[in-house]
Amino acid sequence: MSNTAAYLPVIQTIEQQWSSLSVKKLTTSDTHSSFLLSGEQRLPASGDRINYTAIASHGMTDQSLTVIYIASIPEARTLTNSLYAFLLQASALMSPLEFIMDLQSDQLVIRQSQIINRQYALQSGSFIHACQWLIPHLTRALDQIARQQSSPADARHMADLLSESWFGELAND
Amino acid sequence: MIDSLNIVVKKQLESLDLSPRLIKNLSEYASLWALQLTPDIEAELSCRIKDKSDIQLSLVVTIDTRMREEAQNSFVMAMTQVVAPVTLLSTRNAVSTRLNVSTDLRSLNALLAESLLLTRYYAGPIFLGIYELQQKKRNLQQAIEETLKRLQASGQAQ
Repeated sequence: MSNTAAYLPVIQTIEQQWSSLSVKKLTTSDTHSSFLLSGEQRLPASGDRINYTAIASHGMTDQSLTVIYIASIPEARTLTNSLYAFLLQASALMSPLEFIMDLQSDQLVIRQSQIINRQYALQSGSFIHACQWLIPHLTRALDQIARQQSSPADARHMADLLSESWFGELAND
Repeated sequence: MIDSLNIVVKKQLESLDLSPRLIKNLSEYASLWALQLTPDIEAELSCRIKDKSDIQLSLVVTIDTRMREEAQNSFVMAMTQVVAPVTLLSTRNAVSTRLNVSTDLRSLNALLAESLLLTRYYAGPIFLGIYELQQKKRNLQQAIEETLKRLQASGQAQ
């Protein structure tokens, strides 16, 4: 099976699901080892422009693929120990999501990674829904941490509170 | 339903000599296992089954740490740039790797084996880097650079 044939059904599924959730300007590209889907969306309340990327690449066997979703928020942030503490605490609590700073661009990134078997029925829309809800809350929390110069301990506590709100939101769905 | 999945999981983990131990069934659809990834490192595997076509696994390995939070956070955040699909987590006194798997029953054994291999590849260099930092064998920048070299040597850094 060629590389393209391996990844294409997965990327097409993600493209359809993201398009139905109003992710715009969806484009695909591929390298020898992976297939990329990119798109963008403006959040209605804040007007923030979010860049989404899905990457599908070969797993270790013919049965598996690695699928990674990424949402990056354009605003650059000052990297502090309190910001790291907040993001790492949030990552520990809100599996399968991960909150990281892109150290090259100083931008906040939400990432979800998994390995899947090729026939698995992906539901990639849940990542978009999660980002739509989380990003305004995240940016508010990070703005507060910067403004108040919160300590790492306080920043971790704020991540705890965010995760409680998050799980409350999930329970209401 | 979880009992059927547990039988399959236990058999696969035993075939890989990982000494699996069922910690508990979390519900009718979910269970939590302990397994010996290496003689010194124990891992936790959570399993959730919706039906034969939808099974979720999450493999977590944790080490306790005793180092300044600032250095630990910086090291982990540097490593997160390159270790996907593995997720790196850092809380006050511990660092963990986490790998999520979505599969059907037919591919479960293959993907479970792959997740264990991937976790070993990443956890080894990362935990060694943390050990060197704790023991002050390297400073932060050296530990990051050396760990990245080790990950690339094992073919896993992106």
